[in-house]
Amino acid sequence: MSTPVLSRRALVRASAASVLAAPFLPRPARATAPPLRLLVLFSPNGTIHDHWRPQVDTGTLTLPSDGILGPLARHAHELVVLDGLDFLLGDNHEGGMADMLTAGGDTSLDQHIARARTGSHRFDALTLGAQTSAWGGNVQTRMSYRDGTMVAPDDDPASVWSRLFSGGDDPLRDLRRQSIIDGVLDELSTLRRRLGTVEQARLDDHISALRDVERSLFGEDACTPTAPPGLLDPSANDHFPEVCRAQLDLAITALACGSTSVASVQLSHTVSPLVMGWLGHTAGHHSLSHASDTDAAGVTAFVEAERWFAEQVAYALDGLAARADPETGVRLLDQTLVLWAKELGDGRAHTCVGVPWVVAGGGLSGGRLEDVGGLTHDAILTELCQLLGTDDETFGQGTTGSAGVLA
Amino acid sequence: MTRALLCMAVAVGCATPTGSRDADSGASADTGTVARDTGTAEAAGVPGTDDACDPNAVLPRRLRRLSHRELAHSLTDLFAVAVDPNALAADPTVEGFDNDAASLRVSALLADQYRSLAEAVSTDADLSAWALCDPAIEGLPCAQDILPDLARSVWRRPFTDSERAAWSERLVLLTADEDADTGLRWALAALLQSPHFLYRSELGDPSDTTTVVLTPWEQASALSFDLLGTTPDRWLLDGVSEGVLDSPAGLDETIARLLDDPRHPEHIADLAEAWLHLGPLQTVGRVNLDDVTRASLHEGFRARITDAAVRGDAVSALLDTGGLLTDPALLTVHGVAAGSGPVQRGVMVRELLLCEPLPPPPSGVDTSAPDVDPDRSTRERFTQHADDPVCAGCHDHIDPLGFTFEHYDQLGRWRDTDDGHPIDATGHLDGVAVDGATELAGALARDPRVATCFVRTARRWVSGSTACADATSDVELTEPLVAWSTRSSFAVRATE
Repeated sequence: MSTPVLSRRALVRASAASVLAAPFLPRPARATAPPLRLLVLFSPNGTIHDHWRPQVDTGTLTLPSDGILGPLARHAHELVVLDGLDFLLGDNHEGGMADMLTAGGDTSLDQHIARARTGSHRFDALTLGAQTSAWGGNVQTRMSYRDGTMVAPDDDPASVWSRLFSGGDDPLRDLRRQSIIDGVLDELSTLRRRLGTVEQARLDDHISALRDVERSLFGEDACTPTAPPGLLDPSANDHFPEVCRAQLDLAITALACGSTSVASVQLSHTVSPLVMGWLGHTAGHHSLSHASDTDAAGVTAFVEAERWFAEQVAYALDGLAARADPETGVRLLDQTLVLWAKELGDGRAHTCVGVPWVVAGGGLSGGRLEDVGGLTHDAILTELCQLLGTDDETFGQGTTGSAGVLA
Repeated sequence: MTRALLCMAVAVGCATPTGSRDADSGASADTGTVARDTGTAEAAGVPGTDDACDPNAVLPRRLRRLSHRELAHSLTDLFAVAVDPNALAADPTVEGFDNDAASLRVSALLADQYRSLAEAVSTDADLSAWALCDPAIEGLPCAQDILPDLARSVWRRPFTDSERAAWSERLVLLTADEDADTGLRWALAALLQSPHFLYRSELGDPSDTTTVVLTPWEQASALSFDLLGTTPDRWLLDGVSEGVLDSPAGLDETIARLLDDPRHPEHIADLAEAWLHLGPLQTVGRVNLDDVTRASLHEGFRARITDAAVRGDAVSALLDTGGLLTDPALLTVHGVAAGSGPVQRGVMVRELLLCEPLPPPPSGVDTSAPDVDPDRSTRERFTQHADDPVCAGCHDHIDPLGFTFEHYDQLGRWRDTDDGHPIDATGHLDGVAVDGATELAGALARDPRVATCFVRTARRWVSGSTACADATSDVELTEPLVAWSTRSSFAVRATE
């Protein structure tokens, strides 16, 4: 008999089991429940591990109150904190941003799940952002891709609100809108016949976009309008906190009323120049992320900034915990997988090693710090897909298979 | 305090710089240089990066979706409405430009934004230029009279006979049981969501040959968008109807008239903003930068460019006496939140004025910024870039340019000292010693790389595809676009 060789994954699973100490939470019956919903959150410019890494004391996940994850302490029992996660391919700001949700493939996690569920909701995916677009769409500013094409987030809460709620009861207006879309589709089809294949593909995108618009305009859901967001310039640096909150509210509302089952809120972008003046900062976030360990003031400011982002994640978890899933009636957080993704490990090194991801909700047993010891992140993306009901065995260019650490 | 690797880049790659980089201005994070390229450098027939630059290379037959700026200008010029191009879903940038023809597509978000914009514009539009009668009073026949003329303005070509009949019926349908003015405005909303408005057609007449010739209507659109950045006006469209573009003399006369249009220098200012990546001025966070200052910096920059264009200045003059290099808007965008930002400004000169892209700093190198140290000036804090050979490879191409701006703070304002430290603004342009940004501007004015870079940039911008330029010692600001519109291949397109 040969010596049994424990795979790294099996070891990881074993250690996961040993850390299971969170109180038992009622969980939805997976067999009959509809697929989980997905909320992806992003914040930029890596971390400083010494200020991020939580502790596990006697089996209990502890988030030091002055650490980066401190603001999430009230949700500690809901969290799976991933330590030691390496990106499959990416390094540096650009590589990390591009690789984060794609693992080198041409479609990101959010869009992949959305596509698997095409047509089941008014919006296949609600792709939102806060100040992601001042530099246009490029590898620094985009995290969502479909078939290699960047998906631009909607950065304006007022626009999101009107897309979610502008339906209203106006049959004549809806008839006119439908008639116009039908006419445009006819024109596109006619024009398409005059084109070669390269140009045809452009119009095919347009046609598919109009089908999506039709569904968002005339599709059914259980949504009733919330108060519209205040009118403010969503691109103004100092409005960032209000924009974040409004976008998180709208994403959660959309999940809660069933207008989508896939939402993302991208907070700024890698190399973010955001100046958190509301924390008294005068340097941009990217500059702060390069503070050396000997620069006490710089490190303090960066940790403050990261704690501020953690507060936004905690706010999102509060919102999901306070609502009910529209189909099952269970706590929306139990029916929604939440991924807080980042694009870099230590920002000073520009590497995607030990990228500080946190997963929450979705009925997972939380309260865990998982040392995934250099596991590549395609494995986490694969496992998320499987938890979300797809039959993916791998993700992107990865071959690792499911990490088996979340569930 | 001392670290082995205190730098933001290494020498490898700086001999043949080709990539995006890491800087707070976001100046060059191209999709054109990574695997996930949405760009089109590979498109056949595009003036490319070959050894020989052929400015008459034939472009592919294509549909060109209006850039957000072209859309906004068109709607404003047609209907006297204000449209913010930045409110639309941001397009991908390729080689630093957001009007790359092959990358401009319509996503679901953008399609919905087009819809709501079309509805808003059609409600608010001033239609007096087309109102031969009042549809609210005279009813459907009046609206049916107006619609074809309105459509010619919006679609930049007349209805075909079958379109004319079909749209007459659509007008009835869209009017329903409401008044004809309402119906006409819904028809306008439909015209504005049509591909015939949203795409610049460069398809030519149907043809089985390998090349096609643009129709006179398409030529008029090309001239108007290329020289004015906006839709053809009534004068130009009437001219097409009368066959003006059928003769070389008529074509020349049309171009001359467009160059006299006050929108032409504004278009050159748009070009300069694209060239120098001024876009983030609207949002970038800088200490003491309020919205009033932002607007006045923006206005000042545009006035500098439009004045120079009207004077017929060359690029060298814009640098030498025109104050471009120390323009406060330019220095605000390319800098840091507080202080000078020598790296950002050096990179701006290297990448945007000399067209020499730098590689990003490699991963695995400690890129911690120099600690804030009240005992040292900004320049002194960055000296490790020069002292450490790992850093110096690239930073020798950046810092000697960037240090010349040390007299300018985060808003481009003159400062006598760097927080009390004496300022050393000496540097060099690849060996040509200069002291201060004004001397650097003079050296750049005499450097043929800048004029060549400007020509390539202008061609890239106007063509919406990868472009090249032969070395040139100097060039008037308006010259590249004039040459573009008068090139021999202006009206020719290659089929797929």
